[in-house]
Amino acid sequence: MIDLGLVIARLLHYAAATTLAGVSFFPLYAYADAEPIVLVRWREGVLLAGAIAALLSGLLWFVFSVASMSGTLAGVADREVLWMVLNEMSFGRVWTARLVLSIIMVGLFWNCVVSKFGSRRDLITPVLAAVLLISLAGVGHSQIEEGVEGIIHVVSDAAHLLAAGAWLGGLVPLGYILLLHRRERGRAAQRSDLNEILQRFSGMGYVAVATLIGSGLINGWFLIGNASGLFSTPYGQLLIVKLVLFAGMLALAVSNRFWIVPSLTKAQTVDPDGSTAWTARLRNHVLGEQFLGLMVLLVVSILGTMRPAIGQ
Amino acid sequence: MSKMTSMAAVTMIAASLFGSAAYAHPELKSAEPAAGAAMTTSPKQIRITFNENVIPQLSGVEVRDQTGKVISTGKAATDPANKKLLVVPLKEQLPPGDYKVEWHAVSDDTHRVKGDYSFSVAR
Repeated sequence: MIDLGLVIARLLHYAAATTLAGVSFFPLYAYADAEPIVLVRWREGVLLAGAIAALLSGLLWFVFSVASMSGTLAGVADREVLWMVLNEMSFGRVWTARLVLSIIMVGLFWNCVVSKFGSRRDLITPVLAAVLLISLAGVGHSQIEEGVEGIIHVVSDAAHLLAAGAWLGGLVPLGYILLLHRRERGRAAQRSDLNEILQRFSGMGYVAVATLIGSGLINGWFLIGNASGLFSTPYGQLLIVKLVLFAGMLALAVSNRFWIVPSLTKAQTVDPDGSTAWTARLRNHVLGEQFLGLMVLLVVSILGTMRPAIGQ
Repeated sequence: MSKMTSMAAVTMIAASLFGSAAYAHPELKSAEPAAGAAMTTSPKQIRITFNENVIPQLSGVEVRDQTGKVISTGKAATDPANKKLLVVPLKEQLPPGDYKVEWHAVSDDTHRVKGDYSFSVAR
C-alpha cells in the first residue's frame, strides 16, 4: 500500500515536473518571431496547473517516503522521525527547498494568469522549472556514491532529467499546436509557422536524445554495472522495459523527422488542402510519443523504489 | 551527436578510473553476535556493521527467541565514532536457546532494507 502510494506520487510528480520544464522551455527555441498570444495564454494556464500538481504530488512523495522509511504510515505523524528526516537527511533538506520552490512557482504563475498582460519572453520561468526538475537528482539513487563518482552521477542524472523534460514536456505544446492547426484549417501564414516550429522542435530533439543516451549510459554504469546485471536482476529487467519504450518513442520521432514532416511540407506546396492527412498522422504520432513517455515515467517511478542491480 | 557521444565516452572512462561504484542500499557487513554464532554467555547488545552510514532513528532490530517471543531491547543508536555501526542494547538476559535477529536499516538514499539472521546461546 505504501509502496504503491509512493510509485503513484512519484509518477504524478515526474509528469508535473517534466511538463513544467518542457512547456516553459518551448518558446525559447520554437518560434522565430514572438509567440502567438493564444499560445502564451494557454501556456500560462498549463504552467499554473503544472505547478499546483508539482506541489501536491511533491507533498505526497514526501509523505509516502517517510512512511516507507519508517515502515508504517503512522511514522509520518512521529515528530522525532519528521524532525530527523527534515533536518538530518539530504532528502529532507532537498525536499523542503523543492516544496518552497513549488509554492513560489504557483504564486508566480497565478499572477501571470490573472494579469491582463501576456508575459514577455521571460527567463525566470524556464530557470525555475529547470531547477525544480534537476533538483530531483539531489535525492534517490544518485546519492549512492561518494566523492568524484557522486558528483559525476548527480550531474549526469541532472542532464538526463533536463533532456527528458525538454523532450517529453515539449510534446505537450507541440500536440496542442497541431490540435489548433486542425481547428483553424490552416491559413497559409499558419502553415509556414507550423513548418518552422516542427523544424525547430526536431533540432531540440536531437540535442535531447543525444543527452539522454549519453547520461543514460553513465547512470546505467553506476546502477547496473555490467550486462549480466541488466538481464539477471529485476531492476535490470525493468530497465530493459524502459529502453524498449524509449526505442518506441525514438522510432516515432525518426519517422516524424524523415517521413511525415517532409511529406507534409511537400503536400503543402503541391496542394494546400491535401496536407491535412499528414498533419493528422503527425498528431497521432505525437500522441503516441506522449503515451510512451508517460509509460517511461511510470517505469522510472517504480525503478526509483527498487534496489539497483549494482548491489546484488 | 557524435560529439555528445564521445563526451559521454570520455566521462565514462574518467568515471571508471575512480574505482568501482559503491554498493547501493545498506547491506549487513558483520554482526556481533555473528550469524550462526554459538555464544557461551548472554550478549549485552546487538552490534551490526553496515557497508554505509545508517540513520539510527529509522533503523533497528527485533530479537525473538525460538518460541517467537520478542526480547525487549533499548533504543537503537549508531556508534558516535562509526555511523555504519548500529548498536541495540538488550534489556534482558538471554536464556540458552536459539535467537533470530530481524534487522531493518535506512541510509541517506531513503530506502528501507530488511534482513535477518540467527545465533544461539549455549548452556
